[in-house]
Amino acid sequence: MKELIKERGKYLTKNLVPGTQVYGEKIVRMRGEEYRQWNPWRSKIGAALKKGLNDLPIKENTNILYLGSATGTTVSHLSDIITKGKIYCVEISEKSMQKLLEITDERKNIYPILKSANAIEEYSFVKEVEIIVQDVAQKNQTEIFIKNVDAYLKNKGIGLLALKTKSISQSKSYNQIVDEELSKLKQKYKIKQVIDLTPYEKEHAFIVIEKQ
Amino acid sequence: MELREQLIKESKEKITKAFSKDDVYLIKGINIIDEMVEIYNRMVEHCRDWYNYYFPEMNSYIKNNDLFCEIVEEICEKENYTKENLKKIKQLEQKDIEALEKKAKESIGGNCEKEMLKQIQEFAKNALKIKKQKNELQEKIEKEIEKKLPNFTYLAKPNIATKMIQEAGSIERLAKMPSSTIQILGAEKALFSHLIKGTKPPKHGFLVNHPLVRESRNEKGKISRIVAGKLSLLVKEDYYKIKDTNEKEIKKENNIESAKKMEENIIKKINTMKKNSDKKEKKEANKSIRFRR
Repeated sequence: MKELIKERGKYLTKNLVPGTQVYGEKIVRMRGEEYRQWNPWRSKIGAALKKGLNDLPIKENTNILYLGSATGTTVSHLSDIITKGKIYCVEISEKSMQKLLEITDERKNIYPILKSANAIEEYSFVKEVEIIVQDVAQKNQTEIFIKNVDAYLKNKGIGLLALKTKSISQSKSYNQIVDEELSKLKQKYKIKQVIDLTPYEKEHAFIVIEKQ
Repeated sequence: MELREQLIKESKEKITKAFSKDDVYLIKGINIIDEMVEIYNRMVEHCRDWYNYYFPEMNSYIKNNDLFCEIVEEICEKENYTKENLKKIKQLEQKDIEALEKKAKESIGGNCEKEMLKQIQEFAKNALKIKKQKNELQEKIEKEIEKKLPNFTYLAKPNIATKMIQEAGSIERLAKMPSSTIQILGAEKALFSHLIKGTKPPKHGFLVNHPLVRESRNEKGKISRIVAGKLSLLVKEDYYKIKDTNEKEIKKENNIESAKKMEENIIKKINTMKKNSDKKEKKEANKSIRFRR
């Protein structure tokens, strides 16, 4: 797939809007096309890729539900790849959404939803998607993930959860928290991969599940 | 309308609404004030260093930063340090004026090209502007807080009230806090050290500077707890009243009756606590005397 390529250890996505930049990333001209460098220090999926993420079953017409899109750093790369798909971006903060709207005008595959990821009924117009990505800093992030996966992920779909352990508990250890949250997910889904995002993110785990 | 266009329109309307709440401007203003003080202090340090090459004796003689910048702005060149000119600066006493005039004549500082000296003068001027804006901003913020949360600000005092709102992040969040959180707002480091490592928990955060807490010697923890309890009630009364009633109604009645009542009750409690602890001390003292016999 030429929308996502790896060159000299760095991941690049083909720029959907050539001549523009989203977050100060490096622009690379290659094979006659313009590519944007996926910065692993700014994007959790970028970090997961560098640390050996195996399954990223993204194609041109994949539909994605992204919970916690913030100002759109990771979203922009996913939007580069799914040229014929849709990415529904749920974000609770008005300040972050204002920045996201600045790239939404030109990227027609971004659907912005200014709501809480916990209130799943409020975006029920979202049709079933193939991939759900979550990156929210809440104490009950696993519960929010499960709610959304049950409601909106197709069978055999992939869920990517960026687990911020410090939001869940400050006194328990990283391993303890990861084990506890994994046990909640194991009951319902198949755990495909668990990645530690050090050094790109501290105390963050990246969990890949498959809905049966 | 197509789904995507509708979503974009909805988001834009929500953003405009959220950015129209005066809360967000207030909180950002509070965040800036401390930094403005730091910026001013650093500018003054640089200005003193810079001017020191030209007139070191003035730099050493004038200890007050505001006064130093004012003199550099108004007088600047050594030839201008005359009694006439120096009289314009209000904070200078007669002895200071005479001392400065003499030091300017006998200064061992070097010469400085006029254009460069002008730069130093502009720098001092800008430092004073920042200090002035910081004071104006602080006044404006305290006025706003008193208007929005009259009872809370009356009991907490404007200084502490500002810090608490900043730490809480928004007035709504502060109103939802339990009194135990309000008690230790500002002591986060000690709190997390207690939770993680098991050290002693903090008794008070910003409340340590509250006049009622400062007065007492042994009862600081108890008094902070009592004050925090009343504060959490007052902030809820203030905040939820604003939500339900008209803005015009609030402007008429800026009443702080509840706060005054609660302050009276707290002071009564503190006095009874003092009496009881005095009685206890007397008893202990008598016991030890009997034992010694």
